[in-house]
Amino acid sequence: MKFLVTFGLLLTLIEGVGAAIQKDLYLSSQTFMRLPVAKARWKESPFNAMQFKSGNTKVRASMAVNLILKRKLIGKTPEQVRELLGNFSGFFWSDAIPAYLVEEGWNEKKDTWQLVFLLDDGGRVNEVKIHKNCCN
Amino acid sequence: MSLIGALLINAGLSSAILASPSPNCMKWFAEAKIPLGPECVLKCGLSSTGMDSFMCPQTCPELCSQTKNTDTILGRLLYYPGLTAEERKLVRKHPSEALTVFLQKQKAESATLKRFGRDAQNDESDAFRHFLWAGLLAKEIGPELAKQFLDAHEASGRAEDPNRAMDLANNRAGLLSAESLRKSGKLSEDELVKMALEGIANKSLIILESREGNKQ
Repeated sequence: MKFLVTFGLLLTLIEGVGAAIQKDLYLSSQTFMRLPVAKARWKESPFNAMQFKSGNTKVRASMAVNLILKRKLIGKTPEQVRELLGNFSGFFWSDAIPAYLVEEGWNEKKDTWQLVFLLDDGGRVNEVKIHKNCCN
Repeated sequence: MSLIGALLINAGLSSAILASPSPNCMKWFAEAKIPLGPECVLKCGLSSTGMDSFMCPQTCPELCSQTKNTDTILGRLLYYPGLTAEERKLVRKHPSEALTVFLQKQKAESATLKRFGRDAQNDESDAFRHFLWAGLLAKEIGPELAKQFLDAHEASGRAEDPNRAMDLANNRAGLLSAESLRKSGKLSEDELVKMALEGIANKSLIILESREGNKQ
């Protein structure tokens, strides 16, 4: 009996995992950087839209963690993000998804990372993540 | 007990993984043209398979239920996280070709990462990606439908947006090159890649912001 209950719970868990795989098929195939790792790598400067817009990738990287934690751009449209932060420099899935390179690794054969602004069904930003644009 | 448990867990895991139809299975299902309805699962299960689709019948229940709404399956699963309104119309009208569009998009992006070590915007990698995607689409679904999908993809951008103009110009270059290669009997991915790189080198492709360096 105990075995059956345990097995039932396990199957339920597995089914849940299966559904999640289906729902997030594309996202789950991507690599994202966790915030503690990003903080250790780039530190955390206060997010400032104007400085971000005019800054290089190093400046942008330093604001990445704070931008995510403060959730300041949640609910914005891609066009509003473009107005605040400038033209998209990165690419994630489509030209229409806001993405900004924060670490350009291609010349040093390192990883390339970007901030991506994931959209909800209504086309508004509902999450910001640090995505591995490319490979080392 | 451990053996039985392991077998059952393995079966459970397999079913959970198989519950998510792969892009290959979606393409197989679309190409089989199985009508939706009460007999969908049965017909799907009895459809012939090949080496790359022999596992697909096990996902028939999901394929039959999800494709009741093509917009959902392609919009949420394949085209995450957003299609333009024009793309939605095309996906509904040409579901099988839409899967090809998706697969060629993935191919173009992978080739871009391989060549440039990045997928960016407004630079060489952007020009290469658009040229190659357009060329591959022309190869797979013909130039007219390819142009419709490519234009639909850019439909949401502002008319005066330089990035959009760049994408449209490089798409057009890809379509024209594919047709030129087709006429000479040389249309292949390798030739398209070669022409894209030549276009970047001789500046016939449009690049708004050059970024130095590439992976090779």
